[in-house]
Amino acid sequence: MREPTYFALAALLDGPRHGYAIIKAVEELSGGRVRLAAGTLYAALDRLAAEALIEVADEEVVNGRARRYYRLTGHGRSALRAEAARMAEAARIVTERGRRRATRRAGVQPA
Amino acid sequence: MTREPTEHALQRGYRRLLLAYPAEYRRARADEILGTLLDAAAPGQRRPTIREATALGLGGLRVRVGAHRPRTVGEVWREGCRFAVLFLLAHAIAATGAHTGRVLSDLAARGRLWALSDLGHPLAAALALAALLLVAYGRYTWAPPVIGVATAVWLWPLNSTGLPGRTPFSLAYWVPYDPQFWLLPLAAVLALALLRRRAPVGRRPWTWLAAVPAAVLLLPNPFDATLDNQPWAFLATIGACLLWTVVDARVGLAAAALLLAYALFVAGVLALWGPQGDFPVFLAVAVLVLTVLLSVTTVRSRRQARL
Repeated sequence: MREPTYFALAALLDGPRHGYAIIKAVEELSGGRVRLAAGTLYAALDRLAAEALIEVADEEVVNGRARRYYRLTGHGRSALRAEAARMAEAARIVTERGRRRATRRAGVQPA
Repeated sequence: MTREPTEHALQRGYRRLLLAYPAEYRRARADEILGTLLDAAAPGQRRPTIREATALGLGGLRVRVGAHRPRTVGEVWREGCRFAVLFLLAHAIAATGAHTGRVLSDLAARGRLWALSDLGHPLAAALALAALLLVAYGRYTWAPPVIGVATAVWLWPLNSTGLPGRTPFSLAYWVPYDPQFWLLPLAAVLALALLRRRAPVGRRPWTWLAAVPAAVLLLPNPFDATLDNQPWAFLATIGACLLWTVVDARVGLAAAALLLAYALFVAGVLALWGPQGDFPVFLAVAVLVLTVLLSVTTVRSRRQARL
């Protein structure tokens, strides 16, 4: 899963959001690192909907234009959790090794 | 007071960019995307940003060519293989079409053929056209035998030219005399691969017929009217295909197949006759570009397959 997709799914964890709200949430969740262009966002939303990871929750008209709210499906929530677990496991390998090395180095240092 | 004209100008700019998407998609999504674009715009912004324009342009083109749909890496390669067969067949039809025109005009002027084997040209063109339609419509079972027969018929006039010092019906006889020799054999091999793993068919298979006039204009063939375009039109086509992999990775494999057909021809000439003119340089460049095309296709297909 690419980083923008991961954060777009994560943005929907707290409930349905529309396009612009997803863009803002992704920027906030990623600490400003991932800034989605609207064209990129809708390409990602199309693919996620085709894979049944998200669905349209609601639709309203604002300023004469359609505004759709998207929400995670059960499958999307599981896929997001699986991806988070995979990344946490990958991170754990590095952080634990780093910690072990630091402990070992501290142990051999003269008192 | 200035907010409204500013927003209108920005809206017009975005609406123009949304034309990159097909009409059906625009009907369903354009208003929603436009709303998001306007919400995300900076205060006083009059023109679309380059970043948004690029994302909309690429997104629209991907939807138009069907590259936006989720696919695995294997599916991207399988469909690229189908594109390669169609490119090779379109080029073969264009190449033999020129000879067909000459044979038919001779027949009309003289009332008879110079040799019976001249019939090989129109027959090969008709069979290659049938094979192109079979592959375009997903009838993969019949494609390899039809391409096989087209190859045999293609070689018929070549065998009858009586080239000195060569044994007819051998690679050494055919390869050095016809730069387009490898188009049909390569198409047959790739069509066999499609039998094992079938690629899905697009929504308008008949549009592949447009690849034939495009091949007449852009690829090397004996048409007098387009001979002067070469080799630049061919190089520009390969370059455009390389760039197009940003939109659709499948095209990279098709361009690689076209280039491979010519690289095999040049390699054959060098193997049989030794170094000839610029041929060693052409072969080295072709191998380099082939490597680039396949590498880019690999990277892009992985990216296209990831969510």
